[in-house]
Amino acid sequence: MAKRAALRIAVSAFLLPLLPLVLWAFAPAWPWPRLLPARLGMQAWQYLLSPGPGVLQAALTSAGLALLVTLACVAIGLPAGLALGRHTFPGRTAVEVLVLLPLLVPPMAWSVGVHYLFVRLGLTDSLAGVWLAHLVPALPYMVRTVGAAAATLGMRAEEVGRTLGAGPWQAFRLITLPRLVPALLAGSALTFLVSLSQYLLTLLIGGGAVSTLPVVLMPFLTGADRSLAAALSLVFCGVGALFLWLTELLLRRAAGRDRAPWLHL
Amino acid sequence: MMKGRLVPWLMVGPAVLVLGALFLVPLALVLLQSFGYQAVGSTGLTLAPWKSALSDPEFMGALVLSFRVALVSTLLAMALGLGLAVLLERNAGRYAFLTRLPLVVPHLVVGYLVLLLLGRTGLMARLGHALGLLAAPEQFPVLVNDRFGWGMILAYLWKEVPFVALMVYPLLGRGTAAWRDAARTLGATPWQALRHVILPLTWPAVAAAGAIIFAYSFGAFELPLLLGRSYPRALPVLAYQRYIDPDLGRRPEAMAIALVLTLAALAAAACYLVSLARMERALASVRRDEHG
Repeated sequence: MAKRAALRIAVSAFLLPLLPLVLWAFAPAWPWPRLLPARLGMQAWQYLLSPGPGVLQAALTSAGLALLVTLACVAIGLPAGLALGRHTFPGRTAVEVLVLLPLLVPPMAWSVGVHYLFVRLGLTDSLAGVWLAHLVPALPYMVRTVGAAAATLGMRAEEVGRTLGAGPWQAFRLITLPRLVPALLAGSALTFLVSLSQYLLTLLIGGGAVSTLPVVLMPFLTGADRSLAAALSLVFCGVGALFLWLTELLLRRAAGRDRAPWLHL
Repeated sequence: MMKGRLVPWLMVGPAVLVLGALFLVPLALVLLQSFGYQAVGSTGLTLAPWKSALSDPEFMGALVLSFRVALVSTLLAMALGLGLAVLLERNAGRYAFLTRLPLVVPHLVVGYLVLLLLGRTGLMARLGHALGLLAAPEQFPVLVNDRFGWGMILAYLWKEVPFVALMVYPLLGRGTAAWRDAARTLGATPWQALRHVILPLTWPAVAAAGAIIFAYSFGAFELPLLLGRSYPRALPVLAYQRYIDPDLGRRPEAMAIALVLTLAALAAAACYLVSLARMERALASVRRDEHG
């Protein structure tokens, strides 16, 4: 009983900080020291959805960029994850460490080197440059998620298929790939969310020419209009939530009753 | 047989190429530039950038601040995350939103949550006023943009406590519960069972999660920018300011600070790998216990 009460308190403490954010997003005025907003209204949303502040444009840029990052991660991460999950080969440990490090070494440590490199290659201030830079923090999530799933899968089913006369490509496409779909979806959710939340990388490599949601949001967060900042924060979370919801929908279809292979760090 | 050995390398090739060109090469450039390689006004390699970066009075303050915030966030997240995992028992499915929400709410927004809740005109201060505990916002304790870094710590906790619980949860299966019940039957208090049974059995997962959280909170840029003070700035913010300084001669100093961040992350990576190997052994034994 005491345990259930403690859990309830923990969950409430976790949800409480979301309350002022949601209230502020619909509160044109909430003067100190009122406990609740003086009145509710949609003013912040009307302003954000008007073309002036470029929020819709930024949301589209962010979502498009995150989608392109995710597609590249599927293309590059699927073969890499398969190789790491199912094959032993010389240099495998080195590759595994290389795929772990970008999860732990912060962008501030290496992004200045990318900036130096991209200035010489003419890739700064461009969407292409930002896209390439986002691959570094995102790709490890895909490789590790696919790798963990491939390791559990093993080679047996595919070998049975080969014995029954399937070619290597046929066996991969008909036997292995369908069973990796849940891992690919979980990995996609993570890479999308990682790309979506990049602030420093986009700021440094994009140089202000690439306006994603976090880049547009930051000045609002330090500005005076809390209602606008709160509403824009909700838009930001909404894009990520929408994608997560979509992948989970597909995941439930693909995996049936199987448990989703969530974070494989 | 040559072909068979080549195939895995062809499969990891694109990933190695991407991470090599966009992560390892940039890190090598940062290393070279921290010794003045191809820097503005520099002739050959020199220790000067390191000397001026480390002797800067703000550097020590920034290092202490970043280390304190990372250490306190990590230890608290480990303890609270383990507690949450224990409280969840077999109900994790019902509370899936606990791990989904921090995934969807980015760090910048978490920082703003802390500001709106614990800032001097935030919800908690208003609650204090309504209860008659304070008359003006200035009487509310400084929890955001504060000297110690509590604002940042609380933001990291909101994001990372469910993550620790998620990492620990698989190790809290029936096997661990059986050991705990045995300890309770033999007269251990719930606290003793937690301390002497559950903690040792789940420690590898707690430590692995802790290594990730330390690396993240030590090197993160967004939250100190939003919730930190203007002096001393956190180490990553200081590195960024040095990098965008109009005086291009200061860039090698930024590179030196970036390398300090890299070294801390590498130490965390080593801890993580050791913990992970232990965690895999622990998971295997939990599974054995559950089937045995």
